[in-house]
Amino acid sequence: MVAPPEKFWRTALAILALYLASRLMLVVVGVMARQTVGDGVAEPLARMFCRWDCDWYLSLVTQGYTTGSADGASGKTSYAFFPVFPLLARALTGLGLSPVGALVWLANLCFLAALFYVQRYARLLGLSTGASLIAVALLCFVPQGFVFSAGYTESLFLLLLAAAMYHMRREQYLAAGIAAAALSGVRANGVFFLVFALALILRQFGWRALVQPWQRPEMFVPVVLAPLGLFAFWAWCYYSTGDAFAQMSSVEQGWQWRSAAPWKNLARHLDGNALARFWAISSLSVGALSLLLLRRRQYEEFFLVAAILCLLWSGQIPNSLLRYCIVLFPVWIALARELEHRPLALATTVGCFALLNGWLMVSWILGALVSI
Amino acid sequence: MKTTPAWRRWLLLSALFSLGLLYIGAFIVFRRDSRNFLDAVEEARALDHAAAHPISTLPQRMVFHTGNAECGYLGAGWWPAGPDGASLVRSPAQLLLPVVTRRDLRLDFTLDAYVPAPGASVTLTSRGVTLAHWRVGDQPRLTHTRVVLPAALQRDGMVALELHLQGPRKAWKGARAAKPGIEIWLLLRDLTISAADARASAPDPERET
Repeated sequence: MVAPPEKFWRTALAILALYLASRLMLVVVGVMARQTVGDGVAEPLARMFCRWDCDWYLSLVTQGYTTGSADGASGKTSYAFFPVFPLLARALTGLGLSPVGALVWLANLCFLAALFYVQRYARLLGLSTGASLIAVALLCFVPQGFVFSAGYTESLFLLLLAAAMYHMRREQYLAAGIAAAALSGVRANGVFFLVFALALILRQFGWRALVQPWQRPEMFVPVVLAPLGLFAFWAWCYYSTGDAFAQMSSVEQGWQWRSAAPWKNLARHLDGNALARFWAISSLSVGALSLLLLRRRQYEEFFLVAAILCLLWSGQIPNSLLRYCIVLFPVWIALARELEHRPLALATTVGCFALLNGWLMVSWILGALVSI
Repeated sequence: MKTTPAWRRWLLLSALFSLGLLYIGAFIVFRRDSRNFLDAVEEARALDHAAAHPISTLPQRMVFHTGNAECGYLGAGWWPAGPDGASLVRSPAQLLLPVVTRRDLRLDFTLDAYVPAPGASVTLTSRGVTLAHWRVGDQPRLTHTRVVLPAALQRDGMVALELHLQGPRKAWKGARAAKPGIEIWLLLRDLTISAADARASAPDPERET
């Protein structure tokens, strides 16, 4: 588990280079798509990375939460979106950034920071520097990875998840707890960090640690703090609307979100239209790759990924399943470990990832539903 | 392992335990006292509309199609009205009618229920009193939908009606609904309000199709 010494700056430069190369590629693809197959109208760079849900976050940054529905009385309200990401973006507007610029800058800064955390986490798991950088490259080029630079919550979620897990593994419990608390204020499934934390405590300290919490109470700090962000959001919703579960109310009515057994939903998606099949197959592929975690006995990470995947599959709507899955970075770390000594497989994987990411970037620019 | 003083460990454990209890208490309060905010918003909007548009002449026929002013009387629990009528999004669905009279009223509904599962039923209530109960048959259109509302149930110049769905349901995706993808359980097409005659003044709560 002890990582060999490495030159920090060389690794940092490699991460920065991977980040910049992947973002540059996306910008080039985006501009070319707009100019050649799109309407040909030039678009500010920040605006190019603001589509779909980004407009909701934009309204949150500029107006805060409102109970008014977007299109009449359908129930699509800004309460469907969690507060931490737009709150941070709002803070950035104080530095003179436009609201769109603040969202996109925030997303990119979070993504860059997340890449460092993921690399450190991979080293913590015993991967070589090369393998840890492969994990970073996979994240940079993963299909739909452009959302890490868009006004979406994925980059912040990735950063906080990686930070919480990293500090938990290093037994820096207060830092892990703070990151976990913020994580559940970014998206509800951030609470599933609990699964990882409890599994790690169980594996590292045995079941006695769970039933005798007075022996080492500090390691339960992240466990207890993890739901704090979610409860704070519920409390705010209760205070402002009288409905603590306003987020769920809005999502259920406005976006027709319903839950059902994951296997039933997956069967329905696979039997549905091409879009539903694409999202279902994408998420199933991530699920299949997560089995690599079992092979390496990374049970804590596997349980976390499995819990989040089950939650995602319990929704009857297949939209965005791929986007939700790509933040599950332990999967990319496991894949990186497998690819480390297989240069041809590595080149093929990164190449395929980049191609798919480019295709989805074009779809995003053109406003196609597959990129939602 | 145990380098931390015992009192600090117990203090931390107490703090964590308290926070855990706070979560449980807050969740109980949230569950008990929360009301769907979309319903509250729609109810407030319908009350405002009702206050501004009292129904002073009878009989009055209201058609709940897109763009019609009477759709403003639809309170909580409805999708935005479509070309065929207003469909229920959540049970119960409210209808707030500011009828300026103190007489028994006759209500004639045109209602379609897309709930073909056996045992499904629709109940009409006003201020907690059941006015009608319809079992859903083979055909979506409900029959015997003439209901008499006693004057005693009209308070503050308002007729407050609620439609409840009971039993198993099977949603129907209406191609001509207000919006693609909306699942329809119950579609309110129109309602005629008129003064009831003396003989029809008692409601029949268990009338069935």
